[in-house]
Amino acid sequence: MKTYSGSMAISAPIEVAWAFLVDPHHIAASMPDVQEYQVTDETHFTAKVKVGIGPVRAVLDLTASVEPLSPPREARLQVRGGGMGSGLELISTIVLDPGDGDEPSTQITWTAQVGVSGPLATLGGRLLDSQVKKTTEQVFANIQQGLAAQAAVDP
Amino acid sequence: MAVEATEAQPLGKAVKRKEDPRLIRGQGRYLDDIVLPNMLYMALVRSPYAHARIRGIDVEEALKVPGVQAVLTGEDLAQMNLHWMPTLAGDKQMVLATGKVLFQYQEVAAVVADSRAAAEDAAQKVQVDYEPLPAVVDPFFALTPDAPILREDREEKSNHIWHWEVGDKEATDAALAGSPVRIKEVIRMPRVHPAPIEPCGCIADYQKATGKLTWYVTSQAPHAHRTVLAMVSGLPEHMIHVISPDVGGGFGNKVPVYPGYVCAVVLSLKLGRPVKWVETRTENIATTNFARDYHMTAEIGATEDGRVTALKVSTIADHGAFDAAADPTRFPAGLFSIVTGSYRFPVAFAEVDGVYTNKAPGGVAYRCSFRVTEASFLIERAMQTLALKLNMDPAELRRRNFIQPDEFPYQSALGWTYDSGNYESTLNKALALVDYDRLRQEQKERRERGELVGIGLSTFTEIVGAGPSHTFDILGIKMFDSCEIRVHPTGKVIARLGTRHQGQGHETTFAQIIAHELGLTASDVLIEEGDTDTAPYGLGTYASRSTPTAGGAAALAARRIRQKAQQIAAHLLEMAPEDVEWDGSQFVAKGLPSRRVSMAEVALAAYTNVPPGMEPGLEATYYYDPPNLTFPNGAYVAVVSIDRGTGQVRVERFVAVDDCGTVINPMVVEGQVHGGLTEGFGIAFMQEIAFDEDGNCLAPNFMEYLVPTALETPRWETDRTETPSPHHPIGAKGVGESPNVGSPAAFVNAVVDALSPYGVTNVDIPMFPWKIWEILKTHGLAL
Repeated sequence: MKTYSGSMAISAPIEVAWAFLVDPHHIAASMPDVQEYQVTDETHFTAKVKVGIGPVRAVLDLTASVEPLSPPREARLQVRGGGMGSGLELISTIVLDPGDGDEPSTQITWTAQVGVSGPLATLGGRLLDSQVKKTTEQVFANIQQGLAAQAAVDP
Repeated sequence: MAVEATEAQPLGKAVKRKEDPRLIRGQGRYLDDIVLPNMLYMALVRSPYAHARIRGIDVEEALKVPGVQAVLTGEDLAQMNLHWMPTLAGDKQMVLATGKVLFQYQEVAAVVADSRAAAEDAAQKVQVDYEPLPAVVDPFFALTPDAPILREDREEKSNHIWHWEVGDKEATDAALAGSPVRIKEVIRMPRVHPAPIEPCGCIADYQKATGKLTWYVTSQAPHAHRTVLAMVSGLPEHMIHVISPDVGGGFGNKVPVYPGYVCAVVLSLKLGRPVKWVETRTENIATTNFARDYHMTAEIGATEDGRVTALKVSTIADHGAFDAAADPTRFPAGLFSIVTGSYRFPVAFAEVDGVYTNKAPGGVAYRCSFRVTEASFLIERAMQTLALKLNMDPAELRRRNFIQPDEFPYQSALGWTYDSGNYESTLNKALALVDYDRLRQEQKERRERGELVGIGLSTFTEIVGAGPSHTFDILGIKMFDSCEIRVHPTGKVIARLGTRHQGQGHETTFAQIIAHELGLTASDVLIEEGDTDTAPYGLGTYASRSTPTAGGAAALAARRIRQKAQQIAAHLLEMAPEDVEWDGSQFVAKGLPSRRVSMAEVALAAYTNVPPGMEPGLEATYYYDPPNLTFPNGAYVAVVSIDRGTGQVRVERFVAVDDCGTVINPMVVEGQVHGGLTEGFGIAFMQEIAFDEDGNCLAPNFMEYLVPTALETPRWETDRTETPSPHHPIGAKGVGESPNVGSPAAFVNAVVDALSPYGVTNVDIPMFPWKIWEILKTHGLAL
């Protein structure tokens, strides 16, 4: 398992950001290259996600959960699954802080532990680390975009 | 100069390889070339995790794929008690996982379908629910109390497999303590893979009507495989017919029995149809037996004038998830005790501890005789360290410690009786060829110009040719080998042996031995191997054992033929047998050289005109149990320069002088040496099966696990000395593996020699350019 982290600022009040983050519909839609997803209950969803590293391409069947740990400050996102003989596991903690400025804003800080196994990990070789980092960052970039889009529609 | 197979008196001549016309025209018949009517194809489902509990396997979606005939899981095999199988090392190995997987890419289910594509597609649809567990990758961590126990099936709740030791520990410690000069070096020989170009595979063809199983398999040891299969499956051994067709490289990888083989056999038994399974490249490298993975520590004591006094070695051997080494029963660490090498160590002690980790099982002897490469690498590297410590020329240090020609047969401190050798003359020949003194002078001049130039030596001794049977067996089967010769009425011969070549040239070299003994030409003798219904029982081809064992059997079977032939010749010459002698090509009447008969004439008479009372025919079989192993040796010199900008090592010259006793075919020997040196070069500079902390295999393909091509391979300069083995029927020793055994240390010693003025005493293999560049950077040498 490798650990990745990042942070981003959202121009939305913390309550809005929180509501977005713990909604599995939004998180599922934020998965990069998601082909289809299905929300199974208030905290869980399943998704088919296309992944490619180096010469390997796979469609992974993922099961995910977004768990509120300490509303509206801390949530846990867990993703597990596999396909084409490969496995993926992501355990992420997301921390929200109200921004300092005059406009309502939220600072989101995340850390993610990611493990990849099977041909994705081995055939991906040296490309793996940068690709996993990029994909993980993409998840949060998509969340940021989704939130921004929602804030624009519903300020 | 190569000669045709029609050459008379062929022993020792460069007879063109009889197998080449078919092999180089693409007319070899390899396993995957065989297509049987009604044949099915099998694919394996493999674990993505190195260590995980299996919570469930769902095969329903896979069974829906068009063309799929069956899916087999570990639970299915468990009902037949076939979910585990014995390894050649006396451990056991899962065929299809039940409960837990223990290494990445482990076999979890088998899918069989009408086409390979359908089987592969369906394998992807098998849903396995895993609960990942922490992976144990480091063998040293595996031995700590914090490490999870990997093998829950064992009574011993430990990842420690076995401890093996040899020698006198007390005397060695005392000698080391009393030695004025001591060195200690940690030497790692990483996990590598034989990586034959043809991966492993088989076709199991069970005919329900006859009850006979024909098993085509990429096998270096078809008879041993038949016996193992009979033991595992319960099928009567005479109803199993093993055929090993042309084998596209083995190097030890095709000695073990693999889970895929058992699955194919089970599926053929179940369905009554032929089932083919052929590995992908990744399956071959990531799951079939690896080699090496020894973590070694060497200590040498010496006098101030450079005479060695003691050697102490301790080793951690990483065997992966199952101990699937193919070592003889009494030798869990193979013949590692050859570690005293070519040197007169009065006392020595070596110990090895086998350890389980979450990696693919092994390890085999990759073009070496059971851990001999590890031993040779260790002693040749340690001698370099000692030379540095003593500030002595490494050639001079070796000379002072060589076992002398008059000391043979030599009893080593670790229990072997070396048969023969003249190490100093082999070294002198190599040094003369490379012009050593001038090279050292040039090195001095180039160093003054800021160049990094190194000269590395390796003067190794090998131990090859197991038996003898009183010491060596595999799963209880004694390690002799065999040859059956049939001389046809027209004087042409078919000979069958218990070995199975994979490129070694047996069809030529064994024909040369037999032809030479019978006064025929190699073109008169057809060699056939690899069919257990026709060939006499033998233990197969690996560990450079074919010529020392089956080669001996060939010569002795031919001599049996000659004994009977002499009686027939005497009958034809109307003389008493004792008045007839063999002149090396024909039977001649003593004192009447014009009265002679050829073997062809004798052969015809054997079927048409035998002496009264004699049994007709001219055939013989010999099971040769060698009295001792053979001990080939060599002296290798590598000359390298290092690019200070990139860390790239250029091998400027490489001289290899080998001594494999009597040479049967110098061209074949040279070819063997070229191949082994090229593999040794790959091991030294570009090969390692590495794992990340989760147990993901990081080099399971030819993008990450590199094999030298003609572009990278240096030019090899080869020569020989010839010190016959006193106990082998024709004085021959093995040679196929010497260059792989001896060369890695020469490359490393050369690189260390280049860097030693800057305080470098060791460089771990593989010597990737980035690794060398980091050393250059650390020492302020990088440009």
